[in-house]
Amino acid sequence: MITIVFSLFLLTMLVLVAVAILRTDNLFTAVMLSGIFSLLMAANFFVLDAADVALTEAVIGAGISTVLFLGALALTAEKDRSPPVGSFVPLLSATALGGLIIYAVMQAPRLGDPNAVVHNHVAPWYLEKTPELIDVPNVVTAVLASFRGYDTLGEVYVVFIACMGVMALLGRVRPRRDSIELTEYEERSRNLRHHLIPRTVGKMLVPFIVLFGLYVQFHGDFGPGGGFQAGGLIAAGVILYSLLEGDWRGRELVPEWFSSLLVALGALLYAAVGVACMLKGGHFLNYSVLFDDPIKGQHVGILLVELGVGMTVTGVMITVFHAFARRGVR
Amino acid sequence: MELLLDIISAVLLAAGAFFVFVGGVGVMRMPDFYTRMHAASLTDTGGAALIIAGLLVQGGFTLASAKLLAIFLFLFLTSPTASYALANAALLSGLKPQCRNETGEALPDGSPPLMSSRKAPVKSRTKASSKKAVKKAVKAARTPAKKAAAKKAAAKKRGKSS
Repeated sequence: MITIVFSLFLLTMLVLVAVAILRTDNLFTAVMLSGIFSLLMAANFFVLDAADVALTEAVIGAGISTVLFLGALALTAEKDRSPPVGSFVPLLSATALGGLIIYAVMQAPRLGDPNAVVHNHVAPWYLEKTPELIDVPNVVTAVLASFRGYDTLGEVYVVFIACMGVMALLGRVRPRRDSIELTEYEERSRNLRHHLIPRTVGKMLVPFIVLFGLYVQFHGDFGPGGGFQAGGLIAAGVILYSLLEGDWRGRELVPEWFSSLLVALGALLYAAVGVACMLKGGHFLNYSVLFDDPIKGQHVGILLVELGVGMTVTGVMITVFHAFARRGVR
Repeated sequence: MELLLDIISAVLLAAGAFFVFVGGVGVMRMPDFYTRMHAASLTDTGGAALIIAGLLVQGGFTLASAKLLAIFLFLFLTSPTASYALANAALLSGLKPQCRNETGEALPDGSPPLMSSRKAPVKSRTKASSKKAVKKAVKAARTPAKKAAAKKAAAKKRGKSS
């Protein structure tokens, strides 16, 4: 009962925030509201017992994507251009699509209905077989890293390719001759260094954020979390440091060659584990053959694969942030 | 003993809820951004601290309490910092605090805010509240010389300590 009330409250807030995002013409406000939207969504996921998804949404949606949006805003205008008015096509298509979604929702099973299709398809098999075949308490990790290892591999490569796209667009900026040359002092003062309170408190928090990221990384088999969340958290720690101390200090802490290397190494590690399985005589990404004991093989395989995911995500987030931040200086 | 703990935690929780409620009312009623943020900070610090204290009493010496304590420390560091950053950003982006003198007239932008007249109404929402504010302002203005002296002393002190 209390879950339903809480969910309803959160969903109402979600709708309000979504309407507010649409109505504002200040993009800065829209970015902040979309951060709030993600945070509400994360709370909603948590109420529905999806802790892994909630963690991802909170870290990536509310945390890092807000920072990246702000970085993009620094390169563009703050005000939205007023959209063309008088056209009925968007209204009609939105109404039709909304009606279709509402019609589809009416067919959906009730919340927590044990007879719903999702609970009777492959989910029981996963729940039943995970202790026997993989033996990790967190079934989500087992599904993501082992049963559905191909999908996660694909996701990692999507992130990898997205990072390459961003780097191709924003990466190697050569200073233009006609651009305003900033003195070193000016460049170094373009940050929060002169704000003593956020700097002190923020720097105090960075180690704890990174520590929590490592915990989420290596405890992902047993509790909520895994490579994606951990990568986001560790990158958030580094990004916080860069915001407080200045982009150049952040680049000293994690040099660009290192974050690029992380991106590549993580993706390679994931694929290499799969190839190692093949060399051992099994299928691609079938970790059971890695050791004589199939369960131990699964454990090691999941740990390595999650490490690969974490490395790639950390590297991508830091690289993309630096690409935006460096661009903003010029 | 159980009953006593329950009572203590209930009192703490109720006090926390009161702070959160007052913070919410303040956000709705205060005239400008800075005073609203002042009200909202009650929720962050007083409300959160009291509610977590109430939950700690309920939890006893358990892992849950340790986690609550960690949350408490985290909130106590971050929420005042966030309030500071927010107010600072507003000030830097050019939002001036609304200032009124003792009789409730608006001062030109950039004048230092007067504590006594902070609650002076913007659009005089209700008659009662505006009357009250004026009364309060007059009361505060009765000793202008004293007040100026106090202000000077405070400024001096601040200059020394920084």
